[in-house]
Amino acid sequence: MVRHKYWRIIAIIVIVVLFALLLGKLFNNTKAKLQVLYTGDFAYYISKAIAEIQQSASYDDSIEINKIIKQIEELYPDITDIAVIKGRYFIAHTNQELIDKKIPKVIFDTQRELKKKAGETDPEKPYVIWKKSEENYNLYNIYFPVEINDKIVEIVFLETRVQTFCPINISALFIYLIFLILIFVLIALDRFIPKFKFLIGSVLFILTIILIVNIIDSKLQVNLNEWNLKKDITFTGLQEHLTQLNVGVSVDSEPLTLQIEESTKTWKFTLSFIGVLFMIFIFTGAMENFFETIIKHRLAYAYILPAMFGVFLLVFFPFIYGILIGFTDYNLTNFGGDLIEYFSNFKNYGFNNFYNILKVINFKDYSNFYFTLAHTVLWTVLNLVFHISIGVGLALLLNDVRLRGRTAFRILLILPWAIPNYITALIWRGMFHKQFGAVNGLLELLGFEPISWFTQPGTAFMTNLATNVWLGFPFMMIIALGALQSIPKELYEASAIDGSTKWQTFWNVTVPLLRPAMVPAIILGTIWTFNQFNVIYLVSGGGPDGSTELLITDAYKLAFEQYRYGYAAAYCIIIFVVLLSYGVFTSKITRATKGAYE
Amino acid sequence: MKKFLFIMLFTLIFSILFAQIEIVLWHSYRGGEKAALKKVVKNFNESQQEIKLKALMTPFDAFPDKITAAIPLGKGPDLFIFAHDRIGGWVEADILESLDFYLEEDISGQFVDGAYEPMIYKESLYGLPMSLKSIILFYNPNIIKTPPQTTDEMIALAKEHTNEENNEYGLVYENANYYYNACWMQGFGGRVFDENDNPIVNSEECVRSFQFAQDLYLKEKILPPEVSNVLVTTLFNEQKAAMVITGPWFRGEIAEDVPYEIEILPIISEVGNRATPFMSSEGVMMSTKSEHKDEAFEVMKYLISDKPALIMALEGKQPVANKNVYDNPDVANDKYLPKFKEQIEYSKPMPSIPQMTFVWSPASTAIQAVINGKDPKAVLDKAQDTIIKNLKAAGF
Repeated sequence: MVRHKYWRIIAIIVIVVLFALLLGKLFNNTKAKLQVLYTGDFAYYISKAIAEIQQSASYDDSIEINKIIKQIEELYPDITDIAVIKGRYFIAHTNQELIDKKIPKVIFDTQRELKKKAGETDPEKPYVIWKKSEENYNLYNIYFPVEINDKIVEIVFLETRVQTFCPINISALFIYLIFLILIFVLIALDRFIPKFKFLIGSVLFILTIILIVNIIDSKLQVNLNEWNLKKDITFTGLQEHLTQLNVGVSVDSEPLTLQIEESTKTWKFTLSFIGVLFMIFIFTGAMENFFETIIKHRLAYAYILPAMFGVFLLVFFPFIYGILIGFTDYNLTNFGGDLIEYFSNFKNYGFNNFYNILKVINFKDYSNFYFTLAHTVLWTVLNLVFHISIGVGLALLLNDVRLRGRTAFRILLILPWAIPNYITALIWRGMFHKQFGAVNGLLELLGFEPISWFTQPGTAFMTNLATNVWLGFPFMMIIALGALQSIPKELYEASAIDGSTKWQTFWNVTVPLLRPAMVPAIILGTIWTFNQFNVIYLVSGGGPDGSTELLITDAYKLAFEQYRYGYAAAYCIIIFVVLLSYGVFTSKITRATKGAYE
Repeated sequence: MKKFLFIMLFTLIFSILFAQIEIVLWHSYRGGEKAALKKVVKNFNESQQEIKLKALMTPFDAFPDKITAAIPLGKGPDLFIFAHDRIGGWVEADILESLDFYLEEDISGQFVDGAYEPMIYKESLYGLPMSLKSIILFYNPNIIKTPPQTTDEMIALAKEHTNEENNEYGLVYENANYYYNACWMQGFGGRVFDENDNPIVNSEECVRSFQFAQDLYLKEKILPPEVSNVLVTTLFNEQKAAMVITGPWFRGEIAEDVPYEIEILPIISEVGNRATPFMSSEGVMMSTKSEHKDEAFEVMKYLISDKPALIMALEGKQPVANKNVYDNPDVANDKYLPKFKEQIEYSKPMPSIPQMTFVWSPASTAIQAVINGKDPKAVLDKAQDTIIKNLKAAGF
């Protein structure tokens, strides 16, 4: 028992440290570090100058600045002023051409749009932050175009290299320490006075609330030293510089903070959320049970750990990710960038996708969801009817002992299933070609006019159906054959003695005994056919005019032709719900799984 | 044991000292192009010691999706070779690194006209062009002696060599594919987008070009039905197609015993303009997630320099973007490369704005419907509506 206690304590320490580290990330402190920078051809001179200086033997930080300024002035006579404030470089110049070139209108417009989207009140505020992400830091190039006497003077705030790292803040650490101690107290008390569990839980809960409120409140943030330093340098620095330049304008200090604050806010929300989940985990005793179980069966858990990891990575992670995306408007225009930032912003979630998919009912529009759903259902039902009737029929034939060469027939009939379905689909597509296809060749032999199969919705549907029936019946046949062979002969003999006809034998002996094997196969077949992507995509391609699309091919096209990932994921969630309800419904009605084991 | 440790330590130090930086390059070349690129990579690795370039082939169909999926996760290559038309989307998705930072001088003069500009998106450069690809007229000199200069000539010639009974056709091209039809559309003066990037696929010129494509098939009857790229290759290789319209990649698919010549696309008799296909400028691009960007840029610079470009032209049979290569006597005397270069002059870069991805599907549906006899105006109006609807839904 003593050993168990150690385990528990170690596990808890690990969790708490991880949690603390994670929370520390929310104070995503930024430390500004300066280097000089270069964009466009203007920057070319600067970078060249710096490179020369840095290569020279007498390289020294303090000389650097002056040397650079000198060289820039030599190389670049348009520059009217260069100032260095607290190690940062500001360059002002009045060359209109350069300003136009360096601050392309598009960037301005984009910034404005972004700010409008972010709900800023004054989107016209002119500034440009040109951001470039590197591994451990973000580069910000900040331009403040300032108007003096109706002329734009550009103030270039040369590269700020903002390093992103996350030291745990002192005040935050203090709270964590309390938090940590309380957990230990909880554990210690737990053995002797279980009644106090609730009380301590409440204390912890209140503490967490305070913590979260504090985190959300930006005032806490201002206390962070690093943060303050940054704010100070940036804005008083620029203001100072502007005064020195005698330009007589003040620059609002909002822009730079905006960028950083935004990303911190999303972190705050996410981590608070995780924090709450963690608290629930503790209060409900789930954590205790969790560790107790793990400790008790640790060998078993160790064995299945790799598998669990694999399943999580390959099944649960994509599944959860897909569902998350379904509630966002994740598309080409906001694809990329910081994914964590995007997904941790609650503003990005909503039910719009589902509403947009489901709101319009129009069976005449081929791209309408309900038309596609109806088509998919019709497709599935027809396919299964053919699969089952052909499969069971052939199985009955093959099961007849009087048939010669049964094995050979069986192998031949399994072939459509054994050949990769891409190849089969492409062959069938070729067979339906108007001029060179085998099907029209046969029709012509019989004296019919050749049919242009892929130009009419009806005929295109038939090409898909033919292909998929060909592909699908062997599976049903195999299942039925297996089930038929396991029916005891005595039952047939008994029914023969009772004088039943062949038909009666079939309905009263064969069918009931086939059912337990066939029902799961049918459920499986339904799901496969419902999502039969290959056949549709390769044979008719969904055409003409999208009339033979299935839900799954539609979802594919939305995701990979229009890059509307969110919308496509919502589509897939609906498909999932449809199939899930079908599965639950059928297994309840037929008691599929139960029947097989009775 | 000590000895072992010593050796381990030695190897470690040695490997650290002489560690090469590995740059991974993805491409989708096959056949001759692949072999030529392999040679270029080999030459590069032998020419210096610091960088090890590794080329990996990824099938073309999966290429763009793989790039889109792999790079944001940091699993993609440092560099990859692809056509310019996806630049817009990839820049918006933060996949492509701007090259403005690395360029030290203006290099736009090094390329054939029209190669450099498509690589620019929102005033920044995102790729260095390596080759230019546009469709052109291939013909079988056994069947056709002098290639047509106008579409009337082309139709007359094609009619002469069309015999449906024997499955012989005068002209074969993927007429139900928007990409191929763009040569007529732009020849008539139609565009996909107007100056403000709004789709205008139902303009009068576009409608006329669709009508023209419909006439070629339904009225003139010089094309086989339901043309796919396999059918183009099969008919040409069986010498049953007199003329085909396809791109430089087709050269690798022509059987060895089948003779072929190329000619630039004819002048559209109705309007007097030359058929103007889409041109794609294929170039090498850099991933934002590359860990060795400076070295990667070195590789990019090497790939577009004269010597590798010459290898790509002569051995890869590629219409390369490097201008100097065309001064080389071997290239200048080549039967095909100067023609490809000439066709480039009569072509328009495929739009690289992200909105373009929304056009393909509705436009292809439209051309299919028109080829099968629907009214071009009505079909294109519908396509235009669909494109606008989808663009709106996607936030444009």
